[in-house]
Amino acid sequence: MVPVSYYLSLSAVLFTIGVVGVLVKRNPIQVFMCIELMLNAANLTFIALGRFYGTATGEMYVIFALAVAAAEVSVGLGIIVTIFRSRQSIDLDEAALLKS
Amino acid sequence: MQMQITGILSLLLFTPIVGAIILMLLPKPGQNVENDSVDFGAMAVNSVGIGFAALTLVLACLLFVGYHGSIFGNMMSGVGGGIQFAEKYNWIPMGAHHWLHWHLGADGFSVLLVLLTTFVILLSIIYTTRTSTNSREIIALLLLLEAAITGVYLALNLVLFYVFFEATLIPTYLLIGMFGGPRRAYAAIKFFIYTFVGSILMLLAIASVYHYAGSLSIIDLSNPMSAPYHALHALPSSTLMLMAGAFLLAFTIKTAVFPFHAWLPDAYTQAPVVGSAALVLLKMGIFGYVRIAIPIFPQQCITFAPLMIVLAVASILYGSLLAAAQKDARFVIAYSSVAHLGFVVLGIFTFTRVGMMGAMIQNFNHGIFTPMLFLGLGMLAERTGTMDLKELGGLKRVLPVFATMMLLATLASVAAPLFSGFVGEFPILLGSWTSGITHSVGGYWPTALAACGTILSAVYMLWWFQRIMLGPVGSPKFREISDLNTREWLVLTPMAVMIFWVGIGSPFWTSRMQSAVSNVLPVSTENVEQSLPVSVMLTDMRERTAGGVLSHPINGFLVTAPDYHSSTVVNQFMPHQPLHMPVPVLQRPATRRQMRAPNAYSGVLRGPGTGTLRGPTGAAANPLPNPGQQARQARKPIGAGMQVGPAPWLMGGKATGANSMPTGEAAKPTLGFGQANSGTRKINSVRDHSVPAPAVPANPNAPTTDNKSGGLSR
Amino acid sequence: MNLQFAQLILWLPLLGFLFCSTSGLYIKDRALQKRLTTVIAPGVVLASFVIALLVTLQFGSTSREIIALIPGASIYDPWIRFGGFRVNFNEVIDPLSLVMSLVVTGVGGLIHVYSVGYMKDDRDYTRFFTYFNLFIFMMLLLVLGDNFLLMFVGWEGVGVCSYLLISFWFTDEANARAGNKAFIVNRVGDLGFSLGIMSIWSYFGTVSFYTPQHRGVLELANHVGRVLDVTGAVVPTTAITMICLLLFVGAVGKSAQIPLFVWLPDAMAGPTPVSALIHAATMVTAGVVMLSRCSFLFVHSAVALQVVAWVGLATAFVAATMAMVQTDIKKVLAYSTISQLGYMFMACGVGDFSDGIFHVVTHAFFKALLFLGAGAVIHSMLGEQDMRNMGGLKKKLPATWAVMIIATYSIAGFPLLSGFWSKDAILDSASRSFAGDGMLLYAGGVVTAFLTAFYMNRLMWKTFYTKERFADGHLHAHQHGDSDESGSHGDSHGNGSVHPSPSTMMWPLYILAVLAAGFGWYAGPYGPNGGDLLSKFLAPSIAPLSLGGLQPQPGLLSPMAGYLLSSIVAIAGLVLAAVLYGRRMESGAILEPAAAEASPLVWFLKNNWGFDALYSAVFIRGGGLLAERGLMRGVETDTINAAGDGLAKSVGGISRLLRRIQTGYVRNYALVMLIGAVTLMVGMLVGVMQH
Repeated sequence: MVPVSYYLSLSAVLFTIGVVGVLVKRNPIQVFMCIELMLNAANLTFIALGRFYGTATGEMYVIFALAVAAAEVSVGLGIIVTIFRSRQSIDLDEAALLKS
Repeated sequence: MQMQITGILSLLLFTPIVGAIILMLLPKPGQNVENDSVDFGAMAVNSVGIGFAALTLVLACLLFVGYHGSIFGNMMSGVGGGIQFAEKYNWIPMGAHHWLHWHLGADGFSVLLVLLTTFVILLSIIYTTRTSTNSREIIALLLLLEAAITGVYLALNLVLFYVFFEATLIPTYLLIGMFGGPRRAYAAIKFFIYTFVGSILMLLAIASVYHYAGSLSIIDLSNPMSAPYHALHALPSSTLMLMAGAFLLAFTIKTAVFPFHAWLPDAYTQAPVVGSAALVLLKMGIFGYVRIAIPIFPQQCITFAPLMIVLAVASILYGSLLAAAQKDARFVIAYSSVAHLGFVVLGIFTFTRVGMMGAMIQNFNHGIFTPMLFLGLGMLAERTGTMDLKELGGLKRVLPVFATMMLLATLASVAAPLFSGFVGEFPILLGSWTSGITHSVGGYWPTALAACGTILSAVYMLWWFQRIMLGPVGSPKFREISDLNTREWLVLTPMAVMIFWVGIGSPFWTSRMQSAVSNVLPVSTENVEQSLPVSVMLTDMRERTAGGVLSHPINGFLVTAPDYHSSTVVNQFMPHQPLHMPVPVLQRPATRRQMRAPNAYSGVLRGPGTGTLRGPTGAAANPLPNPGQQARQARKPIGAGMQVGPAPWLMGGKATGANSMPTGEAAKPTLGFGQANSGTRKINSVRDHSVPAPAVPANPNAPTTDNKSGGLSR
Repeated sequence: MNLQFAQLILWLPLLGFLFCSTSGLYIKDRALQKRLTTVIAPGVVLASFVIALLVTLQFGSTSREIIALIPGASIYDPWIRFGGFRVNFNEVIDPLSLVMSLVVTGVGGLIHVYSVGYMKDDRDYTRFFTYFNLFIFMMLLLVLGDNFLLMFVGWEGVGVCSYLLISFWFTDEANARAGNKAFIVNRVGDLGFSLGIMSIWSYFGTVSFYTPQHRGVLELANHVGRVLDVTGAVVPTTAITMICLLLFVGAVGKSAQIPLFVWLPDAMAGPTPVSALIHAATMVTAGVVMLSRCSFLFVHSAVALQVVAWVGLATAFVAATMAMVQTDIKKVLAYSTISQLGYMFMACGVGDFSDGIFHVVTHAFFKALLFLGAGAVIHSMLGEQDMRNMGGLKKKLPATWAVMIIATYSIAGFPLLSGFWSKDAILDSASRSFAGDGMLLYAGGVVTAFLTAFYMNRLMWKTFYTKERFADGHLHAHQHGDSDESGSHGDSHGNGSVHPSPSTMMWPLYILAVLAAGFGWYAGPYGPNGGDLLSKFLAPSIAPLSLGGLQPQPGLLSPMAGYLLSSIVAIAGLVLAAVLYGRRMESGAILEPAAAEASPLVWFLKNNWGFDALYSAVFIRGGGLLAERGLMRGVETDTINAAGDGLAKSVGGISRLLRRIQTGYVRNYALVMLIGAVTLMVGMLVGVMQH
């Protein structure tokens, strides 16, 4: 069998890539993609550990997380569309209105 | 006349608040008025405002007249002197059976200051009734301010005191910030934060007092026989000094004593005219000294007293010199306030009865003539549009009555005799001259420097008067302005009457404060014969000793027999009287000079170790030489056994050699119950050119205010 | 007559004041108001005089009565009661107060009558008499008060009235400034006086002169060789000296001695009756009155007495030198007043207080006469005060000349006139000074007498005898203020030429002339009823030197020789002036105008020996610099306000620093969240792993 640690390290690497992407990217679509990446990395961790411990709990959590991810993406894309409509640009660095 | 009005104090507090609420429900004056029709809105606002203020004044007068100044004024009913009209209700629960009490009460100082507050606020409201489109808001704020200030003077619970103390900040801040001059925002915020900082420290001190003493009642905390007092004063001296220091700092900032006065000029001059008049009423700092700081922390206040005297003298000189250097008429009066309040603080911290009484009267006086000057300047600003002393001049020719009123206020400020300022300043200087504390600071020099303040006050006030009223007329357009109208007469005349009333008939005003002063200063530190008339006391002594006055030296500080008994009577009948002195021990100091040595009083007040206000108890071992007795035994004539050397004050305040007094012992026997003494006899008887800044854009349809004096208002 | 009527002496002028001050409110008819004022204002003062005279005649000097002025007051209910400080509102009727109230009301009444004529055309007629009556009231309070505080009330009260009256024509800035100067310099003296009163209270326990139980200040001091305080202990001499010196500082301020005399010459800016009454006859003599009242204290302090004597002599001499070069007729008289006050102080300083009072009385007569005469001259000359523009007035104003010559000879000390008797008494006592410096005092006094005679006759010659230096018929009126005021006297008289004064102005002059000539003899050592009437009358009120254990030294000159010497000196001074000016009838001046301007000596003498310049530099400019640059800018703005503002700015600065965390970029916020989350998790893991 593939040792759990392989899955976990794959998750970690995916998560890290996702985090870095969220922090660095200026295009919100790309940010969302990285967020999805983070989510999926977490999902992977869940499934790997579920398989490791032989329970179905991990898969259950993944189902929920996928549903939540879908909802969140739709809301997020709606926000992006709204921002684009009002500002004609979706560059995150330009949305710094809270700058003091 | 014994008043049995219970609840008059709460009534006094809530009447202005109700008035303010009603006022704000009325429509704003100046709207919906066609050209010539009567402005019912303005009439309503004015009558409601004046009505409530007048009602409050009537209540305050009832309080003043109904207050019994004499201890023995009404012995039978057991009330007299001390705190009267008290009310105490459970207010805020603080856990298991502890309550924060709504505890109000009036004593001699309170009734005078409440009367002052209501009087000046009424006159300010009369003044503002037609000068401003914002009169509704201003009058409402003034009424709220009046309620808050009155609450400070009447509160007998520390937290209640603090609440009212801070409550005065809000109306003042709004008055200055909304209706003031060009730099009003700066002035309002500066005033608020400056005084607030001190108050925060006071809040910490209050909290610690409650923590250690377990009580917030001012009466209990100032009564040396009570448990909270003992608990509090069992703390180490450094803690007590910190707490007292916090209180003193708060009050010092509020009173604008020298280094902490910076908020005063800006606040006074940027406020609208009635705001300046109302600001003068912020005498809570001074009241705080005599009500809270000194009774609760007497020993610590005595330790701080030399510092306070130095600051007071510095205030006097600094305020006077700066007042002379100002170019704007209002700034002169503002800095003169710093100087006058310096005198008051000096009087209080001399810890003599003369000084303290003079200080309270001067406090009252300052609250009369300074608003008179500010309101006068407001009237001037309405007519001439300028406060710059270079542009003004020669107005006495054009406004003779107004000039006379201003002259009366000027002379009162300068302390000319038969005017009120004199009966304030002279006793203060007298108290300072004879006070052991002042001597410990620098001999006679602090008093001499403070008295120079009277010279300086003549300099800047007369120069101010000259630049405004005398000389050639400042500008041709000044010749057209009109003299006082009825409303302004109504405002200025009562103040002028008050100036003379206090100056000529001061017993009416001081009689109610006799017992209050005695309570604060149980042992007089005056180096002079005490409150009985000299001749009468000696007559008593002569009768009692049956030996002729000069056959043996008489200790003028002996507690005479009637006082002894009356003191015990005081114990029984007036439980609220804080008894600061237990049975005094009769001590005969050898010579008057020993009594006059600088630390005489401290030997009495600094009891053995504990710092409590106890006299020397059982000082049996008293190695004082008593040439009086020796003279008597040797049958020598007077003068033979007396040392006649240079007075201690010449020796830099230290008595040396045979004249030195053993420290820690009572050199000066306690005169004891000041209140008793006074009770043995029946005591009978004290430019801004403010643009009416529209906080909201002015209604373009609103007509101009019917300001008869025309000129350049608006 | 019941002695209680003596209260009216004090209350009548107050009633006059109250009437005049409020008359404008209820009497709208100006003419009626003016007529009523004319009757009431001088009337109350003269009525007071009559009452004072009756009281004097009836009671003489044998009794001393204290009359309570507030009904119902007692020692338990005094006028002022502040703790142990009790003050009554009583008047004391004793010889000193009677003499002084006679002088005040008598001379004051005459000057009131004079002012009716002098101020007739002034638009502030009623205001003038308001202040004048108030002044009389305050001065009477000063002399009649039975305790130090009442005396101080009167003392400062006359200062206030003086301020109001000097700046009476206030539209001229200079007058207002002169009034300020008078009040402020007086205040400096009052500082000393009030500190003296405080010392008295601290040692004696009371400020009353006399109390019913004989424990008043003056009674306690009435023991030979020592002063007792109320418990019977002896007050040390140094304390008495301190008290006396402080009181003396007050006298220096009020009576214009060195160094506080600078206000009196400027006070001539007021109307002439004001100068006559306040700055000649009454207010400035208050210092002497106070010294005499406190003679019981002063005789116990030889140091204080010597200080008084020498300050008096110095003042007398210095002022005489200053009077010699003045060109304004009123200024000459002002300096002459200062000089004569110096004489009075010298008298007090050698212990001869009653001769000091004698000179006060005679000086009141002849100085008031001189001032009123000068006022008549000024009135006739339509406001001209500069003697350089006068001359030849003897023919035009013979009556004025006659009275003024009597006054001049009297002040110079011409034999047998009033001034001769009083001045010689002073010089005699001075030569017998207890401190042994009698000869120096006497010599100084004699030199000053010579100068006095000289400059007074100089005044007469410049004004009356020398040739006219103006164009009669073309006098132009000097205004006292606005150009739109008829404050001067020209308009109503119309023709611009010199004319004699009306009789309301002349009759007081005649009465004063009689007194100035004859009173000295009447009250002097060779008067009727055995002589020395005044000294005998005053004796109960004034302490003899022996009370203090001091004795006068034998003088070098016998009285007769003294009389002779002073007569010679006086006549010599008069003759010298006559000779010098007689040779310069045309120009009327010894020095050329240009030379007089250029000479530093003349500048020095004319400008108060540089005192004004010194005070102006040190106090006015120095104080101004201190206040403006040092305090206002240095301390107030740069330190205190800067501290407060600096605190506020530092708060703002810190907040500006901290604000940089809020970048507005979402990714920064996300990073912070990440860091926070990681920290939390690491912390939890570490915590878990530690267990």
